[in-house]
Amino acid sequence: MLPQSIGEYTRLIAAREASAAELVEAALQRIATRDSAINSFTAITAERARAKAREIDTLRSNGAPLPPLAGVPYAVKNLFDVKGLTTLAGAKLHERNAPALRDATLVTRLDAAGAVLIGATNMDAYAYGFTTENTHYGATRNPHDRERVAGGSSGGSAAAVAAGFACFSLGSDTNGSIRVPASFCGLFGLKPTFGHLSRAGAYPFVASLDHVGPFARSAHDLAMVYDVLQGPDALDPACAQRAVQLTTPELDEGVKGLRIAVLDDYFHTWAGPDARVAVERAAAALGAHDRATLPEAQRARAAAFVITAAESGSLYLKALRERPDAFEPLSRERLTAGALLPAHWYLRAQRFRSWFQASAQRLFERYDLVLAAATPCCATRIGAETMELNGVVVPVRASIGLLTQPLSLIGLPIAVAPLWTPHGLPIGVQLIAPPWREDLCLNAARALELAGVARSPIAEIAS
Amino acid sequence: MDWDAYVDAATALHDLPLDAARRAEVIEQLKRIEPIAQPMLDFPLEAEVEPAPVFRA
Repeated sequence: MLPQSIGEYTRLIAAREASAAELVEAALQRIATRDSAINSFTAITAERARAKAREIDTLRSNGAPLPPLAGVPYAVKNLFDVKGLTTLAGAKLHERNAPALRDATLVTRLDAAGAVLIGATNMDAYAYGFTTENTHYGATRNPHDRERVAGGSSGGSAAAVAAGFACFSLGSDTNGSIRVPASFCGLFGLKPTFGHLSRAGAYPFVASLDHVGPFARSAHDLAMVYDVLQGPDALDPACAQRAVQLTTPELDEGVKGLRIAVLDDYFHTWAGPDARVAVERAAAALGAHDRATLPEAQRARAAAFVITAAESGSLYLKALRERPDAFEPLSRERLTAGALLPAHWYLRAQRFRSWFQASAQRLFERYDLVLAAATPCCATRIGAETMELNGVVVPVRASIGLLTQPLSLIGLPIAVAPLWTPHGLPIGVQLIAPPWREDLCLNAARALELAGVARSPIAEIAS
Repeated sequence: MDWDAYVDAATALHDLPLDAARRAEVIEQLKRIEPIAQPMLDFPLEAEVEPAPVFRA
């Protein structure tokens, strides 16, 4: 019994074909027998999940109305605070920290909506990486091809959903950490507008660029979860004081009448053959015939790079000084170099960001939505150091985020829709909207799903 | 940029002693960032372009 969607979970429970307790046991059993092949979880919250399921079953037997995500199992990247667990943010460095005293804001909201937290997931240490090759906690394997990475840094959250362990999950995205694993694992993912979802209780990495958001296996599930997550939160100073804008009711509106273009120039240059084909297929399905340029994307990527290095380096400077041996070897010296960057570089990058943001606003006077590939290629092999991209040999870990980094720099809302290549691997397309218009991204993702272009099947994993 | 001298000065300033291997790798990282950053640093910006990370509109 493996329900495929939020709707199937809630229908089974409402129709009394299954109890929340039975569904949670099935999810825990699937993880127990299959996650050793994937390594998506770093902690299983079985006791908490069983207690939550009992609560849902009690509501049902009392005839009380059930909340929208009642009994639906989900997972969170291990940088989200979960009461009673130590928040790792992928790092051995944090293992000795005290357990969280309360849940992160988004976990609290999902809990109130009846969703059942089943565990915390693996990630690149500190969220600094695009592959979830974590030296201390192991690499997370891609459920669709276990020789390949799941993408990162929210790789465990993506793999857990692609493997059918969780119905949906939460990740974070500073430079592409939701969009990259969504692309590699064949999932729908949403990086909302910067400031649209609360980061309170999510361990920081780069305060200027950190976003949080959901993964799911359908556009509808993604929208449902996003709607539950919305709302202002004084505990996150960057969280906007905006009313909830529900996206689910209008999800089937489609894209008719929307002005849609494909991003060319930089976003074409750094897309490999599979990525280019995916974008063309998505563009054809959405009726997008125009090409549009977002000028200076290469410099925007540089600004994101500098801001990331400087802020994360500063955040970890004290620990780099006091406990260097506890650091992830793949990122320790990157963090150290970041901590030493000249202030001028950092401030220049922040000012460039304003320029680039204004430039994007001009683009969105002409278009309602623009498209680009989410990753230059499909999932890379575990351990790969270099790859060839349109005839150029480039370093894998630094290049996977080329197409995502310039866009998160200015906080645009972006959904990823998963397409599939003839050789059987997924690759995502970014559906990029003006600020606060997550509804447009999600409607486009839904339209691609209805057109049969995007889909997100659960990977077959033998127990 | 003389990154060797810069790293020695900056690590002294930050009280961040590095062994030879780490020092070499940090210098390598900075040499990798520099060509990425330089075109962005050279981009002309009017004085009134100020940092503004959050969308208001």
